[in-house]
Amino acid sequence: MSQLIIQDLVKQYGSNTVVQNLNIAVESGEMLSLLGPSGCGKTTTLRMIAGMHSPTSGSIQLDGRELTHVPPHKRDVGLVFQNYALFPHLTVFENVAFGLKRHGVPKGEIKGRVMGALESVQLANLAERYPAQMSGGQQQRVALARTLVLKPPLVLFDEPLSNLDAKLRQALGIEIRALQREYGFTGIFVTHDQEEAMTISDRIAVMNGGRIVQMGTPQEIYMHPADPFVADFVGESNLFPVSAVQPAAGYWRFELPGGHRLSAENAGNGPSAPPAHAMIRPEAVLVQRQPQDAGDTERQGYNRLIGEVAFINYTGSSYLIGLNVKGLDSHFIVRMQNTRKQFDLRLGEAAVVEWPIHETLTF
Amino acid sequence: MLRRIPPYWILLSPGLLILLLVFVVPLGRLLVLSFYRTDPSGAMQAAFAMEQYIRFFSDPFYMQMLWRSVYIGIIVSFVCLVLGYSLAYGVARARPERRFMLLMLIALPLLTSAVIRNFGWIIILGRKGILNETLIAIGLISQPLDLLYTPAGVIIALVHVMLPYMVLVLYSVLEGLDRNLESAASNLGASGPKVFWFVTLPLSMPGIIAGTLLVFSITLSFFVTPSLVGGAKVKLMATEIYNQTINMLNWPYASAMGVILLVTMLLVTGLYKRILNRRGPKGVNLG
Repeated sequence: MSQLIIQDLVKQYGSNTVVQNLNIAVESGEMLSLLGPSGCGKTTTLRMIAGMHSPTSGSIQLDGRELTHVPPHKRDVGLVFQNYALFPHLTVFENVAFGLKRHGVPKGEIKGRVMGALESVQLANLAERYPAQMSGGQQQRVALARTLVLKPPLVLFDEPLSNLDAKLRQALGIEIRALQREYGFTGIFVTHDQEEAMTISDRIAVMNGGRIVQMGTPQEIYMHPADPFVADFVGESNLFPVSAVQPAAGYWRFELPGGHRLSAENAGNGPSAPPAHAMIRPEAVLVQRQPQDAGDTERQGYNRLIGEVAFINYTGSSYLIGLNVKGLDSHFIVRMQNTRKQFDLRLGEAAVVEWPIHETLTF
Repeated sequence: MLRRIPPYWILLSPGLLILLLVFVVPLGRLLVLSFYRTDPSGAMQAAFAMEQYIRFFSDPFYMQMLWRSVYIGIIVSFVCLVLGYSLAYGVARARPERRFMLLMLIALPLLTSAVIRNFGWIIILGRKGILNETLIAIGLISQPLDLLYTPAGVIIALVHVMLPYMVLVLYSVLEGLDRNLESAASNLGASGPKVFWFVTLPLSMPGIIAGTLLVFSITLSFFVTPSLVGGAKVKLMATEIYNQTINMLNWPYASAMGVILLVTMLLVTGLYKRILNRRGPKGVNLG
């Protein structure tokens, strides 16, 4: 049974529609990310679920209970903020006890529950501290404990990792998943960071302009983006407009700007609407120096381009290589694993990139 | 070789110099004067005597005046706090582009000449003033209220001029308050009034303390409004000090009253901060 059901949710400010006819069903115990650029409506959606904004129309139901017009303090929906929003005048213990007291939990029970929640985020020893005396990561874990101590069926995360540095972001992301298994809540995770969304969620809803443009598992979103926006927003990509499209048996043949001829599989297996864009993931591409004796011999089943090395970014585990290809507005980028073999590409020299035809995605 | 002067002294010196010349020196002179004697002819004699202080503290008339000054100060501070808090909260929650205009409106009493403002109150508060005439006309009262030349009238006029100070101080605190904290509180199950009581109010304590202390100390030393709206009937420390200085020419006694007023102010504010700080949590600096 679906736990959270959002139907035809609309939010308008004057003539400005921030959220348009949103439909989401989140399964019990699932973590769903709302991923999109700023202003795509993801935070507004979250705040409507929390009750901080009221929707213009549509409905929000949690376990069959209509939430749409329930005031925020009666919703039993947890909310974790980007800036932690801990009460600076209360100790860690008092922060976590705040919700229990407001819910009329008997005094004798409060201490045990607060310490239990603090233990699950490894902060039981800091219960008497004030938020200002803690690091960002610790504060966010207090905020998690403060929310989870109430055992809400649904927890909303409003970019909770954005203010933390990269290492901590990863560690806390893993911790949130562990806490989800421990407490069994359903989660909605708002973020503009696609990597965060991929690692933390069971499913991702990519939002743009107040709508969901694609919903699916991280694998589906990454491997089969629905449109150029998703392809560009999620992960690194080489995205180019195409022209002179011709259908062939099971294939599309077309030209990139500059007249480079490429092929792509026609998934529909037959001519449907001809594509306008082609996209290639940088890690699907092989790059090498152009051999001296290079004739333009194309390998069967591969696409091939020739360019000049414009930059090489070494990140330790991999190289990001950019090529100037004649006619293309932007660099053609290649992500190459550090295989410990000798790296023989040089700036300004010619290089060949090749990738299997089925790695060319079309829209 | 010159010894290097720490840069903070250079930054501090203009202000310190002014304070020294116009504040510390006169205050010291005041303190010295307050120990002078007044001989029967009314002339003052240099001395180190407690005569003036003994006169003040042994006369119930003056003790009552001191008490009246303090309680009017407390009432004005409290009324300003209650009225000012909701005003400041309203402005802090208004749309940003409207806030400046609202603050200007609130600061308007400060931009009006004290004389005009107080004569305005005389016209409004008098027995045949606008307020009484209106209340009688709509049938709320049958006899005019005594407002002019009473403590009530003085309190009304003082609240009018003190309110902007309170609002400006509270506004700066409320405007900086993270609204997510209120959202978090309501998300954790706190109803509107409880959000206010457990989050907004404690976090605005620095503003409440600063605002009330400011209003209290200005009120206690305020002279124009009590003397015009209160007249000779509402005798306060500030007006009596003026009277002793200008009319009675008893400078030692006026000085002693000035010292007593200053010490009272320090005692009351010190006590007030102590009470609030004891109740406040140690994690937040309450001012």
